[in-house]
Amino acid sequence: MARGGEDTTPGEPALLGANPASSVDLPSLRVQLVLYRNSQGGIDRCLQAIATASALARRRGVIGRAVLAIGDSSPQPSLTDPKKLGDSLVGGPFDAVNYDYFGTNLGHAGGHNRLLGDLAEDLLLVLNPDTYASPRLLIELTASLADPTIGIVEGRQIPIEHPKAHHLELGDTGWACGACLLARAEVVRATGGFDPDLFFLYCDDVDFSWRARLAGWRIVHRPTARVFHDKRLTPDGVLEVTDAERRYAAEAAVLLPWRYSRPELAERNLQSLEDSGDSLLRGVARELRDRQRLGQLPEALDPAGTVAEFVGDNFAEHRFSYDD
Amino acid sequence: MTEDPLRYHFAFGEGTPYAHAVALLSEHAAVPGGVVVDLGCGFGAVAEPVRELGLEYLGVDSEPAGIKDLVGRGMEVLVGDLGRPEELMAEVAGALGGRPLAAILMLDSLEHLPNAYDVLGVLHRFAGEQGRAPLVVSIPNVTHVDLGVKLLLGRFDMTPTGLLDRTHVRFFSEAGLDEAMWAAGWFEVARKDFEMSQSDQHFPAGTVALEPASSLGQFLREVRASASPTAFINQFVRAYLPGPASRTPSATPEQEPFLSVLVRTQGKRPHTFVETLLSLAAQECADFEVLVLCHDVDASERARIEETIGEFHPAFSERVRVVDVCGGGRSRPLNVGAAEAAGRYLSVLDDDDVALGTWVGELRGLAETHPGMVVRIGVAEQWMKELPGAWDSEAGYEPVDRPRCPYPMTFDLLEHFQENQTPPSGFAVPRSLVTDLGQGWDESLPVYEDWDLLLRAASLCGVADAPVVGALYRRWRVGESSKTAHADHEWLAAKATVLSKIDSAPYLLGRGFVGRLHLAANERSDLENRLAGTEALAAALNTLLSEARAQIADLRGSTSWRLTSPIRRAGRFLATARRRRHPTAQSRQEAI
Repeated sequence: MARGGEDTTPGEPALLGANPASSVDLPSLRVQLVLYRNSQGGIDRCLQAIATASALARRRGVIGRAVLAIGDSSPQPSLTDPKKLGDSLVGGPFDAVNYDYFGTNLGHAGGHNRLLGDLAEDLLLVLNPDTYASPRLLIELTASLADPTIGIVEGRQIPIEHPKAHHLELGDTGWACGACLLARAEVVRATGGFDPDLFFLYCDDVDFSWRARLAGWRIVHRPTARVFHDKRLTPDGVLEVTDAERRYAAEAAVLLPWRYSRPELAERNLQSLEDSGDSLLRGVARELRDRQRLGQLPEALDPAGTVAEFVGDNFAEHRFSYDD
Repeated sequence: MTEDPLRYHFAFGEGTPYAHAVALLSEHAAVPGGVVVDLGCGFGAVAEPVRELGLEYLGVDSEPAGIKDLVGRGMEVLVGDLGRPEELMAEVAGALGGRPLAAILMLDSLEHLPNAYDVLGVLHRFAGEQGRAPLVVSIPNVTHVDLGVKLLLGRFDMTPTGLLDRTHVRFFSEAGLDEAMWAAGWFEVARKDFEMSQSDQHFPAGTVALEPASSLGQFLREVRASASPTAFINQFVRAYLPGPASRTPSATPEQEPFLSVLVRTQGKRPHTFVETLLSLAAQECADFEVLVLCHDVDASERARIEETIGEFHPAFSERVRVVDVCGGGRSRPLNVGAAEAAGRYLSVLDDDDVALGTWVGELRGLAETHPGMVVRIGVAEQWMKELPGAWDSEAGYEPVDRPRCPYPMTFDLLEHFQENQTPPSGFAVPRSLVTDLGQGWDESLPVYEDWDLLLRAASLCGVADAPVVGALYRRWRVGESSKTAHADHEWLAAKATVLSKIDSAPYLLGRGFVGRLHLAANERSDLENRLAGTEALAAALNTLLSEARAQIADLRGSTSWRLTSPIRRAGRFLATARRRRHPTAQSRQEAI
């Protein structure tokens, strides 16, 4: 890994700063962000917030060494002055800051897995760049991991809450949303992290969570771990959805049942896509059929259906629906 | 033009500004038995009343007619010109001859002096040298409502005496007077301003805009009276003591943000409060400040609030101020916050509301294209429920439904008269509405204070809106919110009060409202016509029904009906038996 450079050559991650003196007794943390065409203002706000949360957690003696790893899938480097950014963040919030300009769009799963390559920390925070962490986010998330059976904990997204249900007394939930999740490094090592071969953008977190549960870990939702996720509503109060979200959500509706031993459901969903009046969805269906013809189906997991849940169009029980 | 000196020969009497000045003298004269120096005394209307207070009187003027009159009344006088204040006050000191100075009077004279500021400075030094004697002034108010209204009509009528005396060379508003006095080092200690609801400028009679009975006159007087308490003051009659000179406090800070966000909190909802702050910290547009209005919050809760704010990044926390508010109802914190605010606009985000990331930016965008107007965007409503036994025990609440938008995206004043359709976070008002027009949240209302302000603001400012959702208004199934903290009768009473207030004065309606009203009237007419048709049909049916009943009654009374009664009973029995065997037959029977 290059040290202290401003080089943003694709594939050459740059260590923007490092603080050699750091506690070794407390769990170490790696915070990962993958950028893609984010605004400078949005990136600044996100980094300010997570830096504040990291500094507070360190001051409170909750975490020790902390590293920020930023991956960038944008067509052009998103950070205008990475060295200056690194200098501003090393010290109170982080011991080291890495910036890795990929030079190609690796998606959510691929970008995070690329950054995971050298994971040496105890804990991994996967965070979306369109978020703003509450100051106590890391304190709250790490508190959940005091229970050794819990492998992944997700934050509470505001102002638009995720509709997925969780157990009110125990916090258990079907899967953890990749917009903001904290995972033990053991979980990452046991599962290999996300699966970029199967998922590009959406539902890689569902798959990661289910594989973690197959490995024996519990996943919980922590309502006090608040994170602002910059979602928008239409004038009807419905979530605004981009074409990319529609495309990859549709793909996941087939890929997940394929992977989790529900071929009949995968086929039904695939036919629905083929019958759709939406050309975008029909295009997704064609690609999936090609994959099926070429025998590129994923290995079937969880034949007994112990972790995978398919409830309507969702992958867990939902408290309410955004679709009506 | 030669002016008649006798025009200033006014008599002293109760209900005159002179009586007000003498009342101030009686309370604030520095030395019992000392000398009152009446600068620009004219005919010395207050000379005898001053003596009646046990004080000596020294009249000073350059106009011979008044001096001669005073001498004739046995008063001590000094002929001198305030155009040379240093020399004049040296002469006054000589005239005092070691006698103590009780007070300086300047009644309706400062406004005649081109060097008014210099004169006040010289008097300040003189009073300081003479035992810190007070200064009592009477000064015409150039912001009297009559003058404002006449300016609106393009009239500026100079007169021989009065508010627009032809010889006035200085014109004082209250702020101008304060500035002049502070600059010279005079500090106000008492006031007995002289009010006239109709001044000497209230002419010509019958001028529509001037007359309080006309709608326009009433409206203009309401606007002026709400703007400041000086609308009907004819003369500022005030007493001052000498102190250090100072500058007028700056009215506006140099860097005013677009928006001041008023966050009311009683410290009872720390977990939703942090979400409110979080949603503000995450705003795309940072051109705002936050005033956290701690309403009757105890010390420990306040410390917790401060700690919560202090944990945020300084880029946000340095834009947050905590303001303590004591007493009053739901409106009090908002008025306190508005008085503290620096933003060009004001909006309210309560401590259980959350903003979307574009909230401030959308409001600012509208304000930039519609300056001076109320800006309004959509708000989604989300029902929440409390979960006392939640696993992490703190954030015990969750949504029970997705956000929905029951409030119209477009502002309709007529519909707003019926019911409030804009939650507090859905609009921002220009701060000028509060600071310049004296509008604010009505502290007598237990609820609906936001609706009340919106209706008044909509009239005075107009409303610019955009069909975008900017915030979430959380409603609670269990737990505290205004909808449950107040009884139904309070809501009804408050609603009646709001509408009654609106209806008690002329109400300005914006462009397009008459068309809207016309449409509503047509719709009502259509409905009335349809209702009338329905009523006629109902009446006809009733007539038919009555006739049928009469025929049945006739039939039942007939001999043949009574004789066939056993047959009908047997028929009912058989029909019941058939229905038991064939349920579908029952359905058919009922359908028939």
